[in-house]
Amino acid sequence: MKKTLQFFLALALFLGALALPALAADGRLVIDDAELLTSDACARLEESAQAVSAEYRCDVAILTVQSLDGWDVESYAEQAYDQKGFGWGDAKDGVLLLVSMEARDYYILTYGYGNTAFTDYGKELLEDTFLPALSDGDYERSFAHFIENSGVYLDQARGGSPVDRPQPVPQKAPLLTKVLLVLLCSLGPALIFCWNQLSKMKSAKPARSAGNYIPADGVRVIRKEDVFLYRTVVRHKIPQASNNTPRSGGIGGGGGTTVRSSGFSGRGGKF
Amino acid sequence: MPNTATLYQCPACTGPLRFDGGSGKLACDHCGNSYETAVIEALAADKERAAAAAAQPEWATEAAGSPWSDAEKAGLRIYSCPACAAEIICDASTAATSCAYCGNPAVVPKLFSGSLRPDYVLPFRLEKPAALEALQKHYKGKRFLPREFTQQNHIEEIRGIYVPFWLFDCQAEADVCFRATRVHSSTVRDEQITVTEHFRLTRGGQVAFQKIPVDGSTKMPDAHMDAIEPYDYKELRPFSTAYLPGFQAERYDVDAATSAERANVRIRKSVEESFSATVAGYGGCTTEYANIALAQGEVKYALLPVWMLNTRWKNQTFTFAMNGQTGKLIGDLPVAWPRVAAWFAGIAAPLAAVAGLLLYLLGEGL
Ligand SMILES: [Zn+2]
Ligand SMILES: [Zn+2]
Repeated sequence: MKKTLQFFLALALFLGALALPALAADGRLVIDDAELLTSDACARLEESAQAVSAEYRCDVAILTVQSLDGWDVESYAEQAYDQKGFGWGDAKDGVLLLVSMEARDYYILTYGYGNTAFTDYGKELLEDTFLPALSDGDYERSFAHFIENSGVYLDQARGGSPVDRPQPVPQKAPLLTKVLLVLLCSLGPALIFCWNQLSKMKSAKPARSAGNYIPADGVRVIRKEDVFLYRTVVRHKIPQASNNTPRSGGIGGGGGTTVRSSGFSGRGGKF
Repeated sequence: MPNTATLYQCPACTGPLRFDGGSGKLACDHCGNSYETAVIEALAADKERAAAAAAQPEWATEAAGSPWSDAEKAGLRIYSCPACAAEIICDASTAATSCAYCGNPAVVPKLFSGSLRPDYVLPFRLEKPAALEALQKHYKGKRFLPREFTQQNHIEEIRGIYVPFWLFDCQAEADVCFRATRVHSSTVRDEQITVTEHFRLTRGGQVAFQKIPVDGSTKMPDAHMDAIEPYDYKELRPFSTAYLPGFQAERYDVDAATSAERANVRIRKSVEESFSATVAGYGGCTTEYANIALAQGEVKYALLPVWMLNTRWKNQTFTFAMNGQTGKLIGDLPVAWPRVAAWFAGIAAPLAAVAGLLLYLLGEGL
């Protein structure tokens, strides 16, 4: 499975190298291969993307293409991220918005620190900021929103709390539980003591058995048979905490980022 | 006869059992269990035996006691109490001045007549002062005893009485059937699987009982008489009127056959207990039935020594009984409920304070 994946990735890279002309590695963050923007708009967006990226040391990039060349949007985004040389520094930290016109696909891809700053839930919220304009065909406004809000997300992440699903606050034991606990700890021993003392007050008890009157070796068991009858089986589901999705950001309980083995995480759809 | 429907029920789910020709077993299609035919037949027989188990064992009560000789009759006096109808046997030299049971001072001498001569007597070993001392000891360490009870109450009467007892001897021939379970629990992936194995256990054999005492007196509270057991029968002597002077003896007013019911209950319980003690390696064990037949059931009539102490406090009578041989004293005591409340609060309040403080200190973590 992994081998096949690697093969396809290698193939993708190879084909990608052919399909995507060598536009990469010049440090550009807004690449408008689909030619949706005017050159002025493209320059303005490039400027703000560069500013945000430098500020937070994490690339905020946009790539538009006419077609995915038959690839699924996720794989295409990943190979494009590598091909175009997106990502800040050696760690390749970054977030990429890929827009493909052919089937009106969009995809938010993050890598490295981008995975920390843009959680699954964060990506969902981020969509709402640029999707309406994207659907309307107002590409410049849509991308401007994307860059601007990415800055907000990165700022939040720098503050130590990336935009994420509201965490259930670890609740203090409710008052009732505390009261019950105190009652148990205090009334329990008092009850045991009083019960024990009260039982001493009553000593005229009728005898229930006659064990005192069985002489030594008075019990002789000569017939003894143990027969297995049947078995009953009860199955009980154990509720388990779901801990099978690796997360970055170290936050549990419904939040965080689902990172693929490739190191990328992403979210996409149609606009 | 393969696949013939039978009237047998599945012991696990009460579904109908079907004879499975392939395995030669009785199978239940409902729950999937299958049984050896012999097992199902044994279980069916159990039901009949359980119904039979309610039968009371028979005792040979005729052998208890013997007739008095004329010489003995001449040396004995009998008094009857008009208040409580007790009949008291005294040595001619011991004038009964009051009723040993109710304290009524006007006891009426009667002509000595009939009734059985005891087989045994267990002589008094402890005297009156020992009984008073034992009572003081009985009060000790009782934190809920009203202080005024020990200060104000006076022992109204203290009497040494030879109480009539029936002594039941037997060899119990018993078959006891238990149902027992063994529980295995294992976890497979996200399932907790609990397997309960059910077993039928039978134990058969004999249990010997020697001289189970049951008092033959309606005047004596049964609980008191049971609670001062046991007696040391090594000192049991063949009856002689020589042991009577100085003490009163009651004549039985519950016959041996009636008293046998109390002995039977205790025998049944003890047989079940001693047989279930041989059951090892099972989780739960319940008695299905206990079939008990008596061999060599024999009843003897004996007089056993008891000190009875009566005290009145706040218009209530408190009765204490002491084993006249071993000195074991028992008797219910009044409870000072305000003292109970004080102790309860005295323990609960500081503990609540400590628990509350601990919770407060750990509070942030909880
Ligand atoms: Zn069944
Ligand atoms: Zn009386």
